Amino acid sequence: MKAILRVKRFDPEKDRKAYSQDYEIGVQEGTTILDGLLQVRGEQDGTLAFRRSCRSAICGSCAMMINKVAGLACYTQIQELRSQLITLEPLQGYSVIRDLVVDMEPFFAKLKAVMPYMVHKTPPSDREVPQSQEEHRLLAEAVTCILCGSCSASCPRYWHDENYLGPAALLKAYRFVLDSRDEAEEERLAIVNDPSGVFRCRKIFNCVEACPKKINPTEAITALSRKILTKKL
Amino acid sequence: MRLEIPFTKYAWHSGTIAWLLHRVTGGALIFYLTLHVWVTHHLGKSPEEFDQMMKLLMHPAFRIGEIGLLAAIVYHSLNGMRVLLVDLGIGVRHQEKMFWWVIALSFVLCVLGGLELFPWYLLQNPIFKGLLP
Ligand code: HEM
Ligand code: SF4
Ligand code: FES
Repeated sequence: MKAILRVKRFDPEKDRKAYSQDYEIGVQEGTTILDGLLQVRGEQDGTLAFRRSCRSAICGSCAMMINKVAGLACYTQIQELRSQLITLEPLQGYSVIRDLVVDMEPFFAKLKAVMPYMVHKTPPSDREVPQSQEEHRLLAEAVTCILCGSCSASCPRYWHDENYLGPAALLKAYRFVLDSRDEAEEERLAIVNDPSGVFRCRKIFNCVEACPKKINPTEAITALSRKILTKKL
Repeated sequence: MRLEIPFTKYAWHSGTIAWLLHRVTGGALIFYLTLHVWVTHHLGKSPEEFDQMMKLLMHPAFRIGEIGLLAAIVYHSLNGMRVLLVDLGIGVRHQEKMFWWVIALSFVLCVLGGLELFPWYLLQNPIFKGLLP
């Protein structure tokens, strides 16, 4: 079977405008978008730029727009898309560096803004800090986030408001706020209770549809809003 | 659901449609409220203006517009409740199902209300002759 990859290309050193280029690739059962791109780069066009590392949906580097939805190239099988013509574009809401490679710096800056690390104020004990199964269950989904950026790239609020923290950073804040071992709930809630924080979410649910790890960032965002509001009451 | 609309950059899921409709109906309701204040203002001015305004409101365009208003109110309030439930942490994972319930209920209420509000006398107009039994 054959398929066409219609790739949006842009090289700032040569091109004044982005353009589309078609590549025909061979497809078998299980061929992923990333396999297709590697085929193109290896056999047809060595200038095509895209990111990838693990090719097994764990490093989070191959996110791109696949048929107008953000997702992982290595985790999307071509046959499941049920179309012979597949459009590949760089993630929306990020600036393009070249072809399918986008600048993730603002995304990681927003992640850093929510303090994505465990905070201990009480002196650390010389043993591990235990957590019950129930306590862990609250985080079980959120900790599987691979920071691919698909959710934020899917969010209309994120595209139009460069300050909005976005689903990925808010999910990370939630992951630590709900962690029984963490001791910086107040600070983190203050950070997400900002004009660029949880209350900017418009409940469009694109992030839920996009997440390759089947995480529900909207649930995290609304849970944080409720925590902020009930604290104020 | 997932729709690829030409000339748009991102596919539309049911949540996108729910949000766009919510925004459009919210805007329409603001427009209606402004209109309503304007109308009320003129109704109270003098008996002549009252009669004139009433005549204007009886125009078929307004009578049919009322059905549109009903649709906007019904959708905006039902979907508003869907969003509120999600905010309260109820049914976040069932938002798509809830959206289809909102659409179905809106449809039923609009048909029932529309039958009541429709200016049936319009059908007596000669241009509809032959279309009526
Ligand atoms: C039963 C009455 C109503 C309910 C339950 C309701 C509920 C809501 C909710 C929950 C939202 C937030 C949606 C979101 O977070 O995305 C909203 C937004 C909005 N509402 Fe209402 N509303 C009602 C009546 C009205 C009326 C009468 C107006 C007009 C005067 C109005 C205009 C708007 C507008 C302009 C928005 C902003 C839409 C957006 O941000 O996308 N609403 N409404
Ligand atoms: S929540 Fe999902 S889509 Fe968002 S960054 Fe994490 S893995 Fe990617
Ligand atoms: S290559 Fe690592 S997630 Fe796709």
